[in-house]
Amino acid sequence: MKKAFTFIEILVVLGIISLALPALFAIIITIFQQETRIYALKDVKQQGDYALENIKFTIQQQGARIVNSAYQDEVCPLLTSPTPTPASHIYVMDHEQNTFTYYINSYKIASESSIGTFSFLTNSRVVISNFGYSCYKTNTFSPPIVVASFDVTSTTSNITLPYRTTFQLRSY
Amino acid sequence: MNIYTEKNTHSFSLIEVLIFITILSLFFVVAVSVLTASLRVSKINEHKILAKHYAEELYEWLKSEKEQNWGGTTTDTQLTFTKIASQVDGYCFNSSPITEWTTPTEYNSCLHSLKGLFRRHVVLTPFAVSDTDSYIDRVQVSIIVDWSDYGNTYVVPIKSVFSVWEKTY
Repeated sequence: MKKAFTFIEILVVLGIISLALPALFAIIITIFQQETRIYALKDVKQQGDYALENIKFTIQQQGARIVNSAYQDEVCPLLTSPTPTPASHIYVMDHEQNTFTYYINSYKIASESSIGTFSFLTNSRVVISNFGYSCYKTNTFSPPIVVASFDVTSTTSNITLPYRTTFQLRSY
Repeated sequence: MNIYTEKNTHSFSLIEVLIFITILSLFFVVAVSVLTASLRVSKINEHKILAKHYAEELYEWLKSEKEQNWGGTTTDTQLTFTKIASQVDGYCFNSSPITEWTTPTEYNSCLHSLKGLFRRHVVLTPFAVSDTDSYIDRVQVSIIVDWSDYGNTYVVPIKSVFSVWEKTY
């Protein structure tokens, strides 16, 4: 008479399967973590690129003067010494005397203008830090050069990308 | 009724068990190889996104250098953009964020030391207005970020031309 599987045989099979399955799942979990990381990185890069392009393009094309918080005096010094210090708000005035500003509002880059528009350039999936700008002129009548920089960090993964741009006002 | 005590019931033969194990192990091998391949591809993609960022970072930085101090000749007394661009070796920028010009380095001498994986190199080629006018109004920019993953080399290039519309001399 042929005999069926014994208890020991079943145990051995179960043992082998219980060794193989965790290895498989470990790989699957690593893949999920990697995918999450890539998604976060993509998000950080996408939002950083967008914010940087937006700030740069708008100020470069529309900005006539970089002004102080009262929107009155031009703030960019003639670069001799000392070098300009970074500020938290960028206040810009265009040719129609309308003003707009970029600043940090609850870890997001906010854009606000005197004609009443307000929007965020980034969302809550990323955190903006070290936001700042400085500006200077190389001589009295030349358009100011603006340096803007910020770091974008993902809230889900440990990913930070630094962003920095330097440009000269075109509508000065 | 307990089937194991039934007389007509027979257990698996050795061949059957072997076939089953072969199929199962084939399944596992294929599954694991697919998963590791997927992991490899996603790691490469992550590096690709970073490489793109580094290439764009250098492009942005070069553009700002161009905006600030164009120059116009390769023999300017000041360290202008066109004078710096006259170096044929190019420059290796293996630190992020970029703060200053590095010493001219050939592409092959540029080490993979950016974040321990990438190398970032740029070659700048100045072009004069014409044969009779030696003023440099265009500089060709050729940025390469490369790295190697699992024995393969991957490259993210950015090519562009910086030009000025008005002569400043």
